Amino acid sequence: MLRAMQPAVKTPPVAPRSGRHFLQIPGPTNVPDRILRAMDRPTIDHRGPEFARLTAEIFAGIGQVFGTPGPVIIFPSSGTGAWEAAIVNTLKPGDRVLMFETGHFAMLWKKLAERFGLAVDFVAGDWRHGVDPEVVESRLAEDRRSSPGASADGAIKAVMVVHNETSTGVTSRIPLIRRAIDRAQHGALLMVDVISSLASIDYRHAEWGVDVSVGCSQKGLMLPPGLGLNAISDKALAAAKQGGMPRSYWDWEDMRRNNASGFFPYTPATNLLY
Amino acid sequence: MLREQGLAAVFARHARHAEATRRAVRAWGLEILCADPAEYSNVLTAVVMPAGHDADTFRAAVLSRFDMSLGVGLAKLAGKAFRIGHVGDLNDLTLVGTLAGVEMGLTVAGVPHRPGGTQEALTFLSGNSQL
Repeated sequence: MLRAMQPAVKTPPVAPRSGRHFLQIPGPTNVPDRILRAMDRPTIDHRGPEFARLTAEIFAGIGQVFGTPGPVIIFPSSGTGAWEAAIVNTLKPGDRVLMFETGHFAMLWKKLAERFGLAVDFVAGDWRHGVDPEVVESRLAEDRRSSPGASADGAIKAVMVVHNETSTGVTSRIPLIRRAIDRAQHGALLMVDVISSLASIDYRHAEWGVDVSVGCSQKGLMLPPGLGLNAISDKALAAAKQGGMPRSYWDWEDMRRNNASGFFPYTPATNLLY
Repeated sequence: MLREQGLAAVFARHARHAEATRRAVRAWGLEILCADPAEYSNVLTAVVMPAGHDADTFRAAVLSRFDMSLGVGLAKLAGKAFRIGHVGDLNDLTLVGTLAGVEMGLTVAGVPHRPGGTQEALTFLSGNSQL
């Protein structure tokens, strides 16, 4: 509509095509015709009974995709919003976190974390390897040794890693990272970006002891862009109840309270949920 | 749709398509960016462009000649790598079409490679219904 209302912008002419365009980028991915047809319906009342039935079905199924019986929050956002939500619900400015330079998206998540005042311990990388579990263990063990008097957790509050680094095609091994944290007997939260791995590469939020999984709609879920997802452990929920940063749009509690009755605290991406 | 197919089958499909893609890349004589086979991604394969050739020129040739979008090299990989996505709503023939487009694109853009990567993928896919 906007395009129809505005004067034409000069762009290079596109030759007429036959057949289907091949969209072979690593996301947003091809949306199946069935899903496109499902979305091609009038927007319904997001405060009405039909919507509540729809969300009940979605919330019953979405946990299986993450491999968790626990809560999953669905934001109308990109994956970047879900990154932000993971941070503002659980951490506060000055908190130390451990991150790894696996590629472009790890760099972007680090930049976002620093804008919230987190002190990022950033382990340099060559963009051809994933997160080294041995480095996770040694950094956390060192953190505990150098934090005398502090709790058993040390100063590092979270380990934040990208599961599948979309910029490089490298998949870090989350179970090995979990075991490394356990070997260091460190209490840091484990946060994992599953934006391009969710529903495509084996992933088990609960079994692997992940505290916050950060996902989105436009990759393995085969939806258009527009949904940001957080799967949350009990430990992350407790951290959110005790602290985090000032937040409103990204607040898990608000979402959970409303989701319990099938609704959202603000307008959801209605047609993406059909 | 995920529930109908079952997540395990979806994971296996991605693993199989990723393996077919990597076999094609190796047969072309090109380098996979991921250095550790234990960390290969099943949703995309990033391919290193041979020195002296620009990945974006190649991608532009593929788009204009074959109407296919390939992933751009991001940040410090700009021009140096391209990414083949094999994620989402994809079947064997879509993947084979993708690899054929890459192989023809390499020829069109004058990127040195050995022919036959697509054939490697065909052989793998027709010989393996599952991994």
